[in-house]
Amino acid sequence: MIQDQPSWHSRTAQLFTQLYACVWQQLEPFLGSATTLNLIGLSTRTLQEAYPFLSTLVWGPKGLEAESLLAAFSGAEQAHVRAGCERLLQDIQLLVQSCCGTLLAQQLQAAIEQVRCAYEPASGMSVFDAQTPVPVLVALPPEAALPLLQSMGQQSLALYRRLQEQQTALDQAQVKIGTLRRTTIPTSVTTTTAASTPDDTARAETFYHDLFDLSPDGVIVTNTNDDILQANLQCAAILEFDTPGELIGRNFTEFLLRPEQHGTLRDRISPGRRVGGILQEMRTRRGHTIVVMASSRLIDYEGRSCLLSVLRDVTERARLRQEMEDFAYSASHDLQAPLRTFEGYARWLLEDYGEVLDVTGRQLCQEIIDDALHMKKLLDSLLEYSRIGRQHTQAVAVEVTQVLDRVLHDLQLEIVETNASIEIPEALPTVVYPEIRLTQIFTNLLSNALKFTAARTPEIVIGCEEQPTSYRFTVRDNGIGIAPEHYGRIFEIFKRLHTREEYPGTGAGLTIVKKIVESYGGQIGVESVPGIGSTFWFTVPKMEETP
Amino acid sequence: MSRLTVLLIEDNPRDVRLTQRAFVQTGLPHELRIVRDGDETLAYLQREGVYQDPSSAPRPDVILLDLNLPRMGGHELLRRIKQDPRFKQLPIIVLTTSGRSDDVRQAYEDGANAYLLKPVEFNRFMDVIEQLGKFWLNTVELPPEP
Repeated sequence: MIQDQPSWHSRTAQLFTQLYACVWQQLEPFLGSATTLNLIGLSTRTLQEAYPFLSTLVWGPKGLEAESLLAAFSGAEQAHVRAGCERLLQDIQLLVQSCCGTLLAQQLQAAIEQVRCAYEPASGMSVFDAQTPVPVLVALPPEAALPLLQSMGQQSLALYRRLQEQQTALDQAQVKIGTLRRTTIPTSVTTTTAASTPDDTARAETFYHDLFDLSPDGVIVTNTNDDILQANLQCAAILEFDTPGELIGRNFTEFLLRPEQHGTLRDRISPGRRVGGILQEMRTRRGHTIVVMASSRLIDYEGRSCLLSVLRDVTERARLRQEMEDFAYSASHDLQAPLRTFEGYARWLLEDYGEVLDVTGRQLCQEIIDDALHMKKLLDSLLEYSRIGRQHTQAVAVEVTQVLDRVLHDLQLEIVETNASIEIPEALPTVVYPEIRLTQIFTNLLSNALKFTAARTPEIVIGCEEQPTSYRFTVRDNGIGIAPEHYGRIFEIFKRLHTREEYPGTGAGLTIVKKIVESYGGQIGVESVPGIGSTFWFTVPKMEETP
Repeated sequence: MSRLTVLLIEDNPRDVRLTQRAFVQTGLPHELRIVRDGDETLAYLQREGVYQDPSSAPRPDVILLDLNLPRMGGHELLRRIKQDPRFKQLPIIVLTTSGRSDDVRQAYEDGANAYLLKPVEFNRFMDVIEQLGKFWLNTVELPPEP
């Protein structure tokens, strides 16, 4: 059936004019015109994207201006306009229910239904008889309560509006998260090299962001003026701040005990290079002095050349180390005084009273002297042990071949005495290590190989194997060997597997070697077959030389 | 010079004995005077108290100082002597078991003329005393009597 357009227009416009007038009559006395307008405005805005014509309706202090509704109806599609008007009505009702309470909403609904029934009695939508008067559910409140109710309505409306805004923001965020999830989950973590597509980039970003936040070390990015651009949670914790945000914008040097040293460090770093293991004294926000181990590298950060640093709080470690060194020092120092007396007096006895003593008496004196001197060696080892890693010997590029030449020269006497053969590879690498420490390691391992010999000529083979991140050196001998159950024991200080009469020594040599190897980031171990020989191995990490 | 007058500042009587023996065994002509701490040293040098009689406190040619002293420490005593215009020209040789670099640096900063380590082995200690005695007795020119 073809509808008569103008008549349809006027009929629908008439219906909604009456419906909206009814809305106004129901709400305005309770809420006041400002709040009522507000409420209608909010509903209009919510819907205007779907029904743009709604924003052309003009609401004045007396409700909807009928002309504007008529104007909206002319030139728009019928179903669309009708749907829009219905939605507006529903939305207003919903808003009234949320902001002004059920009672007013029920009253409004009843009034609306009545208008509909009166206008379209046959629609069947009505729950009310057209003849039934609008039930007055609430009496008009006394005049004094009106302003209060109105302001409450206004406040509810304001709250509702904020809620809606937040809901919108939340929806947007969820959409974003959804997109991210879809892009991150299906991609395998192992394909980091192909982080070229936007999906991969987003995934990599999330991955690194998690790393940044979860890191047990402080991570900080500073620009060339030492301004802090980025910091993670742990960095804030180290410097005694509550959040990383408080650090951003501050200058890194304000936390340094000796800022002048930092400048030279920064200047020393060239692009692409890193400087590692620098110990720095820092002052926290609460004024505590802490020791921090820092590794830094120049990076490109948001288009600028910046310094990325990883900070580890080693205050406690430094304190314990100092304490241990002090203890070892005073112990070895104070214990030396009585030793001098033992040795000196025993010798005195031998020299001045030797004739009065018999052979046993003289033997006892000699043993006191021997033990006093041995104890002196033990004390020296203890002191040496406590000093490793403490006295910061500079790691430099060292040619291992040269180190071995010197070690063999120092051990010449033992080599000649035992008639030992020592095999050294033609080509050995250059490593970054404190030279004196590397010399100590090889001297110790080689002198052990020359000392713990079986009844055969010592044959010693030195080896070197390049691994991805380190060099693995081996010293193999054909000596007495070590039973596997003693592998751990030989690295413990003053622990020996033989008497001093069988094999002299303090029992500290391998302990010192182990501590050196480990304090420079390597590992040490032994493989051995008793009676056949032992192979001691240790690793030296590959490192760039600190300029 | 015929004889080296040495003032030994040492609180450990056993060390004193060993030092005396070392000096005797070197056969160098010497006179060894002993004080046990900082206060005794200052009294000796200023000829106060029991040292009022100059013959009981001859001016030393060299002072041997142990750093590990009770009460006023060796470093403090060294500073006091070297800051006193009457005594600062006296050669002071630190003789100690401490080889700690902080101690060595501090001693030289405070004006020590030499820093020697006491070896545990008596024979090596005797070598040290012999070299020291010969050097200050025969090799160097000592500051003239005031």
